[in-house]
Amino acid sequence: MSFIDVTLSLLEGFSITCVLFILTLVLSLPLGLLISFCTMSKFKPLKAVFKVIVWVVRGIPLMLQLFMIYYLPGILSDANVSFWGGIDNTFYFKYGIDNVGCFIATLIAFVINYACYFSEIFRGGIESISVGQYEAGKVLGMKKSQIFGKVILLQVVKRILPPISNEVITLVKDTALARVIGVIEIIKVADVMSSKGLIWPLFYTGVFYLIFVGLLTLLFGKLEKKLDYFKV
Amino acid sequence: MPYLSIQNFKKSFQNLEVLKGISFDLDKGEVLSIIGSSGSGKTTLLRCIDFLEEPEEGRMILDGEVLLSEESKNDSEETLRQKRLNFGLVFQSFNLFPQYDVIKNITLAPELALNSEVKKFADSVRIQFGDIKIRELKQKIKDYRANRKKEILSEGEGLLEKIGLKDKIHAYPHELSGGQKQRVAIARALALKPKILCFDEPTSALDPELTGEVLKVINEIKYNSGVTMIIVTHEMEFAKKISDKVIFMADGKIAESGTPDEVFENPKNQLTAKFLQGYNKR
Repeated sequence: MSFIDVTLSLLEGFSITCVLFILTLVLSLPLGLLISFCTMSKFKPLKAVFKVIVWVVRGIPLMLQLFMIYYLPGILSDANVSFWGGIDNTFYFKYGIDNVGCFIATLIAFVINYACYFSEIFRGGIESISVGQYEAGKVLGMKKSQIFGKVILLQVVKRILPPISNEVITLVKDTALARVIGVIEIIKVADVMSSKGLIWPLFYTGVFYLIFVGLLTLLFGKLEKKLDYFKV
Repeated sequence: MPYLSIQNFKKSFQNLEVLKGISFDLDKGEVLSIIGSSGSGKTTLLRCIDFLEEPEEGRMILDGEVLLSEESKNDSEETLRQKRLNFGLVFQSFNLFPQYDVIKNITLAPELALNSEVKKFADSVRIQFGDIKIRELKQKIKDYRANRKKEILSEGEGLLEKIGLKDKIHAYPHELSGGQKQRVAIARALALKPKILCFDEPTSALDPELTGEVLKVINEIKYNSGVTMIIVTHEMEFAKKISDKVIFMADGKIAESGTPDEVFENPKNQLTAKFLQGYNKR
């Protein structure tokens, strides 16, 4: 295989990596915010339930969670076939996804996992804003939603950007775990090549990650700079 | 009938009784100073008046309207919000919104309140012109909103002029000194035209050389706008000069109250005398 052939094959794998990354991010950020509200709820049972969920999700290896999401539905539904294998694949195939069942299972596991991590970052950010800001909004007759949306949110965003960027960069590399349940992402592609005796593409994948993470670092740097105009 | 009447406010935190039955009256346009040592319940009293804390017992009547009573305990969040609008509060630690410039800090709340104002306006138009076309109604609403926004902005600018910070109109809070921040906070509280303007130790977080400018602004408000004020303060000289009434609090009760002359020059209560002596020695 020539260098160009290898690059093209790896790019194909990397597109799956990117799709998984973007979908996970888009879904887990709002879910994380929702979970953070639950863990800060004044309604104690709700708070307790979500604290336990966050503890479990953050306490178990992501790889194990992938296996759980992949195997448990099949085991519990008593079907002899894998639950996720039963999904019709023809539609997704043209978008380069070989096995949509595996992909969805991975996505679910990733979204839940990252939402829980994000929720803790959100919680930390929201709780770090001084009570005075809420009270100032209150005495100015603002509604709760207005206080959160117009006063608190941007301050929180400014505070949590660095930890969020950390987590996002980790997510880029965590996508490599998807291969354990059969998602053909970039490392899996390289791995197949290496099993045929072509080892170097495996190391070459690192370049793809480096470029991607480099771009993200620049993006987050820009965002941070954009919020530089005020201090919290 | 007094403008503001506070009757028998009681408030505890866990087992600590902070307010043990506070009552006083205030007439329109009067300035009341509340003095006393730390922990005497001054700030808690102010927070109860401003609906930031809920007293276990007590009644409050403002301008003939009962704001606080046994029945008001089940008030909805919305009712509470409306009641809070009667009061403005200037905090010890300013609590300006860091992400907005000075003018936006002042106009934000009035602009947010505009939504419900516009709704009311739309309803009144609909009643007035029953057969108005939707397009015309929309245009009327748009004009109304734009006009009100302009008004709010120019009112904000007027307030900035009053506090002498016109040149800082687009500065952000972190670019201001403590005294300037507090003056902006005062303008922000005034922007909603509260019936009662409250100050919670407005100069306690300031360097001594900055307190003067803030006190001067408060003084000007008294003489120019005539708004009723309640000031919790440790600035005795200031309290003596600006107040129509002074309350000395000790241990959750009003130990003494009266005109500044009565309280500062001829305190009847030993606690007051001792407290003031401590201040004079400084």
